Amino acid sequence: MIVIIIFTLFMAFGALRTDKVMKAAAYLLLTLWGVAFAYLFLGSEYVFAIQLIVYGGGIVVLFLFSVLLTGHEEFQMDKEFIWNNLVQILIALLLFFTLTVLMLDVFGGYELTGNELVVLNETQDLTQTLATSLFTNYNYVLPILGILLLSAMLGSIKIAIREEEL
Amino acid sequence: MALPIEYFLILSSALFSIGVFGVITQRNAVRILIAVELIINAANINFVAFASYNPAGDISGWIFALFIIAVAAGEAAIGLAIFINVFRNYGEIDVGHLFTLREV
Repeated sequence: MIVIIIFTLFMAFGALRTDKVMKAAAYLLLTLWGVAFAYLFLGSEYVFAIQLIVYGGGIVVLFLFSVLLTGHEEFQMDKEFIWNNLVQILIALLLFFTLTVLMLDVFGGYELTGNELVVLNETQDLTQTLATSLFTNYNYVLPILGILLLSAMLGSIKIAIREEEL
Repeated sequence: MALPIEYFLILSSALFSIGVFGVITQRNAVRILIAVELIINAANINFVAFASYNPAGDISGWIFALFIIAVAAGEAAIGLAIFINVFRNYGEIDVGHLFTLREV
């Protein structure tokens, strides 16, 4: 798990500091894979699969297309960048420490001994439980998602389409 | 192998901070959208982690994670469509030079 965390954070940082936007999209893909494997460690294979399909597949391809369509400019992160953005770096570090201390203080202490999930999985198949609650308690989620994605698709087509000049 | 929840909390807060850092430093709009995706993923990790560590076995957090992934997909599609349109009108997507979305 520690390897996954380090890998994910390095790739996330790489997505921001690399010189070409195309490379940033590739780093984003690797970051999303790292997050997907974190889901796998948390025992939710279904979210893992959805993350790989939707994020690892769909969204990154969308990013690659938009990078190709908008052209890419070079970006250099040198010493000047660090000095010019010292305040932003401090804000990010402060945010990180505040969030970490707060969350560890409030929620720390729980442990998941790999066995627990296995036991839970034997008594009730977790993916089956997810499907059951998706179609009983949360049965409005899927229609809403369908309408949302349809409207997003129509909206993006409407925005991106070139209007003919009359 | 015991897996403390701290790992996931640290991962998500670090990912969130990197995303915020990206949003406030980057100039290219596509890079800003990439940073926003990082922030959304950080929130998602917390949802899934808290659901998995719930002793009652309630996995509503996973469903919320699925909902967030779908919303993020829609947001990325709309955002990138807007940036493509902006690029068509202005020839660049540097947010420092953008003042209006209207065609000039």
